[in-house]
Amino acid sequence: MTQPMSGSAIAYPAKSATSSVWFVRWMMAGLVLINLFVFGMVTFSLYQSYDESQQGAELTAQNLSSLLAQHIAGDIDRIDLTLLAAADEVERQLAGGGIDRQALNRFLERQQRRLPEIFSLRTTDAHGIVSHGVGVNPAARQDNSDREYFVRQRYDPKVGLVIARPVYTRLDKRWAVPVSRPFHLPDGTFGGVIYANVSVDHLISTLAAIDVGRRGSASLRNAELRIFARTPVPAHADKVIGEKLAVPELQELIRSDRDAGSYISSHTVDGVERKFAVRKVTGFPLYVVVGRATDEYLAQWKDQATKTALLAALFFLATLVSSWLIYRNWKHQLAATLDLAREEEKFHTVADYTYDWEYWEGPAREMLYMSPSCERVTGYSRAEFLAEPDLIYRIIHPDDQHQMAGHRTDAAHRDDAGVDFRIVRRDGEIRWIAHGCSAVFGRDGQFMGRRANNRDITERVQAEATVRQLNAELEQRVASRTAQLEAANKEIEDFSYSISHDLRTPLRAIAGFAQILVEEHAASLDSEGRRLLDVVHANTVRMGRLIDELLEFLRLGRRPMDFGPVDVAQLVQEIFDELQATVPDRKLRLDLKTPPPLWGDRTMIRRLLSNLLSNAVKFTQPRALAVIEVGGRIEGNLARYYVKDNGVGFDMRYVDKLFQVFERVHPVGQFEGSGTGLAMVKRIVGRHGGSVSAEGQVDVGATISFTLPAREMENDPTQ
Amino acid sequence: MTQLNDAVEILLVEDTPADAELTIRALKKNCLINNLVWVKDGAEALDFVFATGAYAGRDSSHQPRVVLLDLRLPRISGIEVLRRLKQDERTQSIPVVVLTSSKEDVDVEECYRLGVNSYITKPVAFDEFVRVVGELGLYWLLLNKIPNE
Repeated sequence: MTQPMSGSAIAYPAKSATSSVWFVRWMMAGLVLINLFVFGMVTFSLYQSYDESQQGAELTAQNLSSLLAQHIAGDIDRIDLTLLAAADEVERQLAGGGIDRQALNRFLERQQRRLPEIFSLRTTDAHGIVSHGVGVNPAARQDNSDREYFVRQRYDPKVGLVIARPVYTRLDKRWAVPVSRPFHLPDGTFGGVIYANVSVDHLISTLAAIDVGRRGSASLRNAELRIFARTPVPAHADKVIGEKLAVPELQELIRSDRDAGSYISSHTVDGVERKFAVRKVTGFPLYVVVGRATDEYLAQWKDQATKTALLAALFFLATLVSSWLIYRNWKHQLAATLDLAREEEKFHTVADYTYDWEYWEGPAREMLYMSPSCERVTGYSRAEFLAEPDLIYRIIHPDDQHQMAGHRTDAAHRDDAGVDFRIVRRDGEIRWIAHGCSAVFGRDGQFMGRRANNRDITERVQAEATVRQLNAELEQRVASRTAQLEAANKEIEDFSYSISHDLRTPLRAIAGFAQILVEEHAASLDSEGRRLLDVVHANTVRMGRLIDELLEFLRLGRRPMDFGPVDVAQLVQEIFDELQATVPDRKLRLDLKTPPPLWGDRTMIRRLLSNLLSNAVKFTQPRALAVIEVGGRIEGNLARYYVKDNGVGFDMRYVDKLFQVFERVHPVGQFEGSGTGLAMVKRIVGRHGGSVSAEGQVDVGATISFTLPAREMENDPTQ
Repeated sequence: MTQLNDAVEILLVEDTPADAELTIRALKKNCLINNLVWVKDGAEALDFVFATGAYAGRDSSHQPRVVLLDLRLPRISGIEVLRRLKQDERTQSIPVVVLTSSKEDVDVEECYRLGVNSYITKPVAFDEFVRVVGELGLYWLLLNKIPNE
């Protein structure tokens, strides 16, 4: 057998595994890339906005610090002007003859009232005793010579304006930043100090006037970085105000002698991380530090960052889920495609491996499919058939073309049709094809051509031809044998005719003339002569009967059979009665064991039973009571019958002679008979397709059995 | 034995002289031996009946009242004689009794088909033979009247 198409798609599973791996790899790569990209973008944008937030906070802090620095510079400028005016007034009064105490106090009071920033404007003498100002009692001799502002004014004549560290005032019991200027006696010597106590509370409210946020801070420090004021006010203000509390970043900044700068620190008074902007108060050794709390100014960014991160996470999840969905869908599709491919493969295999030559011709006579076995049958390849749709009709034997034409006409009107024809193979060999085809209809019932099956039946056709030939020869032989048989039969007939005519004629003459001799010449014969003539007469009669019986025996072989059902029991009873009538003085008993009916020629069977029964009667002659038993039964497909008597029996040594024509087992004269009775029985049984057998014992009796086919009666009772 | 010009009552067609003699004796025993003609074969029988050949001068208007016909005859067989007799209008009314040794079914059937009037198998035993011949002679010669008489 030819191998069907090579390159069939058996490799589907491996291919699918490979493509599956590739698909998953590419999808994972895409997933990672797109998520990396998104994360990059998010990070970048967050970084950007973080940076903007930082810069914005720094800018705000710088602006605020700048604003505060200007404001504070203005305040201090005004206070300085007041101090300078007061110094001028004191020096004018000193130069005018001495200080008018009341006038100076009124002057100082007026000045003090103009400046809400300060709560006192006073003077000390050269020894540091508080001398003038609102609420000053000279008798009390309040000594402030230990104060920084006095010390620095007293011992550094060129110092000018001194802004001292905050102190808790002795007179007013309040925190204050003393701002001082010296005044001189008319001789130019140090005369004392005019100082203004700037309220720390006022400074704090100044700082608090700007919005640094809830957790922001603002502070005012001097060059030593002592805290003058701070907002929010620390819990233990006493331990903060006037102290040198500064983070290293600030110290570094101030040391580098810059007017402005910024830094981030978390080591603050209250431990909150802030971004700080530092601004020097122009013209004064003071610094404004504004801090914006990191968590505050980053709150919005953080909020945005959280939202963005959430969105990014959602995006990641979404891509993950959609990737999985795509993968699953793809997998299903792949599975479906594979299933389809497998199904197609299966059907292809079924079709391609058919032993017969199969094809499908489309409605327009185009060849849609042809099984590879076409090459085995025709010698032409599938490709050739597909390329030339008419090839299939072209290779039909010229003598059978009309068969196919008829079939095509026939097939146009019927769904199923078939025809046998011969084809001429490519190699010229002629093959017989049994062609059968069915119309094909689509799901919507549209005609889709015809599906055909071509079977190579050459061997069968040849076998049939051989069988036909053998049958013909057999018939010929049978006819010739029959003719021979008929000839043989004719010979027998002629022979019988001769016997009947030619033997009987002289016999009749012997018998006739012997009789005439007795009748007409009795007088001239003595008693011995008459006895001899009687012997002649008796023998002619006997010979006549022998001839008659022989003729009857021969006729049995030729007579046509007339089959029918025969009631054996009834027939036996009839024959027995007839026999009994011929020997009325004998005592006979028939023991009938209900033999089954048989299928045979009634006349012949009657003859058969008659011969057997008369034999039984004959050979029981010496018995006072003759008992004749007749029985039978069905044994498988045979019917067996027997006739048994209690007669003289026979010697089993001579059983072979029993059924032969003219053979006798008893001497002539002992029992009447010609020796044709059992031969005739055998002949009749033989013609019925059965067999006979005999069993006997001398002086006990004999049993003659015969079997006939029982099957015929059951199978064909009408015959 | 008989004169040709006499009115023939029995035509015996028999080739075997012994059989012929026995038949004649049997007829005699039955007192039926009036004007019997014995011919020895079929051809002679036909010559006699149709007044041809050796019997050309015979008056064919006087036909036998019965023909006793043996079947096995030289020259023309008994069957053929029977056929010719029964086919001819002039002779078909003559009663023909076939006397034969044969018990062959074919002969009996053929004879009856051809129109035989009786078919007798000659018994071997002579007294039996005498009885049978007597019976048929009584019937055909004494009881049965030929139509044209």
